[in-house]
Amino acid sequence: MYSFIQPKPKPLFKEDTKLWLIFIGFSLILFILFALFLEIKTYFYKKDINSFNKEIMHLQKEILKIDKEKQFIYKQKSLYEELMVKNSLMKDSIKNLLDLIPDPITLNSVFFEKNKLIIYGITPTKELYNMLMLPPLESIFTHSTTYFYQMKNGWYKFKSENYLKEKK
Amino acid sequence: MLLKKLFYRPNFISFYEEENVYKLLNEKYKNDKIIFSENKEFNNKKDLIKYINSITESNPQTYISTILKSIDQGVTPSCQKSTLKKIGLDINNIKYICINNKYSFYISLYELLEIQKEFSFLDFLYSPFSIIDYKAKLRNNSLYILVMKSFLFFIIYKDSIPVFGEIEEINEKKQENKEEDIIEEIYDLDLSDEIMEDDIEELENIEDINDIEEISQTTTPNSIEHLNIENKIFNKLQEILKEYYEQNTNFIEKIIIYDSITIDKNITSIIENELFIDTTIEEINLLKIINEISKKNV
Repeated sequence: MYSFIQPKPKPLFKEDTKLWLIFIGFSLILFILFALFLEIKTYFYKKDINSFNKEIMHLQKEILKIDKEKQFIYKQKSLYEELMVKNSLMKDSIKNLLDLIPDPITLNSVFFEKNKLIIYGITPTKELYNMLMLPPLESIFTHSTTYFYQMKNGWYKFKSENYLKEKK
Repeated sequence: MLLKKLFYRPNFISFYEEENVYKLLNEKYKNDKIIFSENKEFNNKKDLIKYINSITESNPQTYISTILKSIDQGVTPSCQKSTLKKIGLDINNIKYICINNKYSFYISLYELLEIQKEFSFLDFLYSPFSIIDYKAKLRNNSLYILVMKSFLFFIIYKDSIPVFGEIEEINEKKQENKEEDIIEEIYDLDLSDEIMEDDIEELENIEDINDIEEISQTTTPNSIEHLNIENKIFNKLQEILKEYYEQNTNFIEKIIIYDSITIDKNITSIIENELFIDTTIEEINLLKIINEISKKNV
């Protein structure tokens, strides 16, 4: 209004300010891009961490399971060893026992049960039995009882019950 | 747009030449508030251009405005080319701007090109009439006078339209050559002519003028120079009123003087006593008003 001439167009900034602004703007864009890149990277890393964590949990469960199995196997193993020892012991003791049986005494039958040994046999005299047979039996078993039956020829049938532990 | 709001700190520079001195006002705005203001005076054009260039260089948002002080301009109460032609204006040799589709201000194309050649950085060029029009509030049967050191601008408003415009050049050279005595002679001559024409009431006024003469004798030479201007204003005012009343029946009810050079305030009482028209005088800062208009234009 009122003016006879039109104003010249005015730039908002000086030329060098414009250059500066372009430079600053450009570097800002670069910064933002780099920040974005880092952000995306961390996002993916976080995702990886999550999946790794899950895997760790899963593996830990697996380890627990395996540990249980291992324990069970150990138990089995120890049980087996125990049995083995027992068996070998039994084997040895029986062998010893059979070795110990004196010539005059004849065995009719031998029953093995758990912690229990029953022997049926024939002995010429009670004294022979008590002298030659009883001491090794008493040394192996904790408790030993013998029953005698006189036969017609004057020899004795005997039944010997031997327990490893106290008779219940 | 946001960027513009953030970084928009325009400088408004207004200047005009008066008695070979360039007066300049540089204002810097931030969100419609002035954050910097500087008044300068330059004794030659080179310094002025150098200063303006330095401001433009530091802030590209600098708007430079000035007013055209020349007789080759005016105001017409119409925007129609035909009406302008009727008044006797050569449409091809003037540049005119239409205000509110009702009236227009014009300047000679030659003057416009000359000033554009002289100050290539100009953004706004105003007519001093526009300054009056911008300031004028009473727009019916009122007469406005803009007082500058070398020019007087007169506008008469009727129904919001400036129906009459006149420029009076105050010849500085004559003023410089003539002595006080001669100035007094001019008073006497001018007044006596008027008295011969007008009624006895005006006779009383001679006494008033004598009073003023007395005052002038006690004051500085500068005020004498002003007194001369006041005298010229008064004489021209009478001339204009006479001319206006020859064509119009409406009476002027109010005279408003916009004073940019600080003239003697007694002029209002002189006019009131002599012409019986209510007169007020208002000191204005031309440069500030120019910047104000430019700011509205941006």
